[in-house]
This record gives sequence, C-alpha cells and structure tokens, in this order.
Amino acid sequence: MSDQKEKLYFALILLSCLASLALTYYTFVILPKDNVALGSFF
Amino acid sequence: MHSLSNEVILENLMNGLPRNVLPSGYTVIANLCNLFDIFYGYILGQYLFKTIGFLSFYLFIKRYMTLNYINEYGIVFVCLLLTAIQFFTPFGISIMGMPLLAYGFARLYYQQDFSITALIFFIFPFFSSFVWSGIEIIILFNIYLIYLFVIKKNEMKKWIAAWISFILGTTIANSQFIYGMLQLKDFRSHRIEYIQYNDVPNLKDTIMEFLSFFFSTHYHISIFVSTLIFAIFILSYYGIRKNPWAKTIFYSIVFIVLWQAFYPFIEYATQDIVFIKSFRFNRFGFLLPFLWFIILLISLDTIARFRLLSKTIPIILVSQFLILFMANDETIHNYKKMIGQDDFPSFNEYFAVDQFKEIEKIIPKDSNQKLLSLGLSPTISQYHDYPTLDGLFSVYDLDYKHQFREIIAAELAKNSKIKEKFDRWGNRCYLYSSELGVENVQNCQSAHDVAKIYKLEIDTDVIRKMKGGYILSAVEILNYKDLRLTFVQTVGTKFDFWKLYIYKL
Repeated sequence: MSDQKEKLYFALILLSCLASLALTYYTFVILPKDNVALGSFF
Repeated sequence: MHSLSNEVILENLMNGLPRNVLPSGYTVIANLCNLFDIFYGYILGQYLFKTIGFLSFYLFIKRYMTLNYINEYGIVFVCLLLTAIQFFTPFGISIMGMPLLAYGFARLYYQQDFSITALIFFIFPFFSSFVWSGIEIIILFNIYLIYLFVIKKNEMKKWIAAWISFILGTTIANSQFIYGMLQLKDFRSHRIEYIQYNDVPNLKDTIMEFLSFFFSTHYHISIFVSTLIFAIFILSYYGIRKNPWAKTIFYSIVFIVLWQAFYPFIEYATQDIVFIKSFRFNRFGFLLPFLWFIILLISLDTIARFRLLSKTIPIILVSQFLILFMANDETIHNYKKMIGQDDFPSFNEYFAVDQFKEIEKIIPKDSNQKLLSLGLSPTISQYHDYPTLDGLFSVYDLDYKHQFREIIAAELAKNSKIKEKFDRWGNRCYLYSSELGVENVQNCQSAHDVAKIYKLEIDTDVIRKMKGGYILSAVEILNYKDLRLTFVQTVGTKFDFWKLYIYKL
C-alpha cells in the first residue's frame, strides 16, 4: 500500500469513527425519550 | 417453582394461571432471582453472564482464530466490548454465550476431547432462553447436521452426541414449559388468536426493518449499533485485503437480517398455522453481535498490518465502546441519575416500595378482592404479592382474555390503537384507557405526567364477578362515582415517581 493510500484510509477510518459517533449520539441521546430503540419496553 | 405438575395453579395471577405456562424454574437466572430476590438476582446474573461471555470469547479467539497482527490489548478490548452491550437479563447467555457455543462447535469441528464439548452443549440451555435462542439453535444445528450428512458425508457420531446433549439440556431446563405445552388440558393459549397482519406486509416497512435490524439489531436481543464495524469492514475488505472469512460472516449477517425483514411475508402467508404464529421463527438476531465482533477482529487484524493505519485501532475501539455506551440506556440512565439529570425511576421508585408500605395497611391481600392497575404496570402489585386480575404474560388462557375484554370493551371501542394492541396481541392484559392510549407501551403515568381520566368506561360488574376488589390508578379518575367506585385515598405525592389513587369497588 502506498503512503498516499495509507493516509487516505487513515482519514476515512477517522471519518467513519466520527460519523458513527455522531449518528449514535443523535439517535440515542438527542432523539425523543420514547424512542423505541431506547428500550422503553419494560 | 420447580414443580412439574400441571395441577400447580398460581391463584394470585389471573384467577388461576398454570405454573407451567411461565418461564422455567430450572434456569440459572430463575434460581438466582429465587435465592437473592429479583434485584440482586439480576445483578449477579449480569455479572455471571458477562463473565462467561468475556472468557469464552477470549478462549475462542486464542484457540480458533488466526490473528497475526493485532496485539493482545486489542483482542482483550474487543472481548470487553462484548460485555458492554445491553441485553435482557432473563434471556441469560442467549447473546453473551454465543462465543461459548462457537467454542463448542469449534471443538467438535476439530474433534477435540468430547467430554468438555458435551458439557458445554448440555449446560448452555440452563443459562439461556428457550424461546429467544434455544429453538433457533436447534433449527440451525439440525440444518448443519443434514449438511454434514448429505453433502460432506462426515463422521457423524460426535456431532449427533453433541446434538443429543443440547436437546437433553434444553428438555430438562425447560421441562415445565414443554410438559405444560404438551399436557395441559382444557387450556387454550391466547396466542392462537394472534393476528399479526390484516394486509400483505409492504415493501417500505420491509426496507425499514432491514436497515433497522442491520444497523441496530432488535431491542429484544440487544441494542447493538453496527455502523462503525460495517464501515471498517468495507474499508478493510474492499480497500486493503479481502479476507474470505469476513466475507462469509458478513453474508451470514445479511442473510439473517433479510430473513428478519421478509419474515412478515411468511407470517402473513401462514397465519392459519397456529404453531408458526405462536413461535415466530424469525429470532436469529441473537447471533448478530457476536458475528459483528468477529468481523471487527478480522478487519482490525487487516488494518494492523500497516504502521500508520494500526494507530487507528485504539481510536476505533474507543469509538465502538462509546457507541455501545450511548446505545445502552441502562448505563446512560444510571450515569445521568448520578449527576442529577434524569427523572427515570430507580428500582425502588419504579416498584413503589415506599408507597406499598402504606398501601399494605389499606388494601388486604385477599384473593376475593383482587387488584387492577391503571396507568402503571400490574407487575408492581404482583411484586408486592398482591393478587391481580391483570398482567403481562406471554401465555395465558384465551377464555380469560375474552372475559377480561368485557371489562374494557367500551374503552377499546373508543381507541383503535388500544383495540388493536389488545385484540391482535394481548400479552399485556391491562386495564386500558382510551384517554391514556397505548403510544407509550408501558402505559405508565408517573406523578410527573399529571394526567387525569375524564370519562372512564369500564364494566365494574364484570370486575366484581371476577373477584376484583380495588383499582390502583396512577391517574385520577374523575368519573369514579359514575362507575360506582369509592375513592379511598392517595398514596405518594407529586414529588414521588408515583402518586397512586386507590379506588374500591
């Protein structure tokens, strides 16, 4: 793997981490309390 | 708790619920709760199941996975990630124990000492849920045995012996349920009237189910968010190196998710077959978290080959931990509560422990004066040993459901959502109110909600006939006099989680 390609994948991995964290934060913390995914089923 | 007899009837529940329709008394979690009470039983259960998950995952990786580049810390961290997922404690190691089962299958595959393998297969059912993993494992095991016999033409002795171990363990662990299912006379389960679909399931729902199941599994299994692992897999597999194992496992995940997404079509086509309707054979999702973690490990091992990329491994692992942490509402509520930013009830608050100390002075535990709950779960009264007419049960008598329906018929007629919930499903045999609705499936109205019911229409004569004596309501019933109820008193204040109104029939 060339240095340039490795740098590109490095950036893509970091981007994936950030995007997944943001998406999870939005879905599970920001969205309304009664979101089914939040386990409101006792 | 351990009786096999179909004569054992729990008189406190639904005017006599057969013991054998309830979950088994031979599982580890049932005995932990019996010995240490529910609260500590669940804590010990969680600790035990997660320990089994961690150790068996580590053993499985070390013995049967070839990982050449990822270091020991990375492997241990991935094993710890498995223990960070949220799962329902009563389902035991149905999810946490997948590495243990995989370990057992690997031992079989490599023809290693059979006694330990047989032990793994025998004890697994005692630690897990028959409904949520037992049936599905048996189905998959059978398919694999047929594959070995017909296609591979392998030596089958040890495989069949392992299969027998698993079946034997399952039968003993769930003997009450199985015996009840086969032998209970004059008992028709309410599940035979399940109506899942009126119309053919539509494609939009199917696509949504696919995406939801693929990226966050199912709340019954665990909340497992797979977006990051999916991204890392795509980058490492298509960008760096194609690993055939990762591809096979990924296809297995896609197949399980497709089966889940399209299962409504099968259910719709087989609605008249009670057996299929009652069991619901779409519960293979319990395999997903483990399969995703295997893909993560393979992908990380691919990434670890390169100096710069290997530096992303700690970042990926910490990110995945944070994702699991945020998706785990149990831990989130705990931490929020610790910093005073959460109004979710604690165990004692939810079970109204303080309020029931007072209630016990007012309402006798009399089987001729049973309780009904409105706006709070009947499990709360049941937790305090009160006989109740209502309840949440996965199996109960259909005739009882019909009788109970007479109480709430007028309310159901006013609100199509609660009518649908009760008539087509009905596991929650609750005193539904059209004004409270069903959007919040718990139907719980805490003191903070300050809701009132203006016009409740329930048949109190039927309640009397069914030996009901009191209604415990989380909301004020303004027309209680029209219903010929007597208001006794309130327990708790608006500052507590529950403010309960007691009405006598």
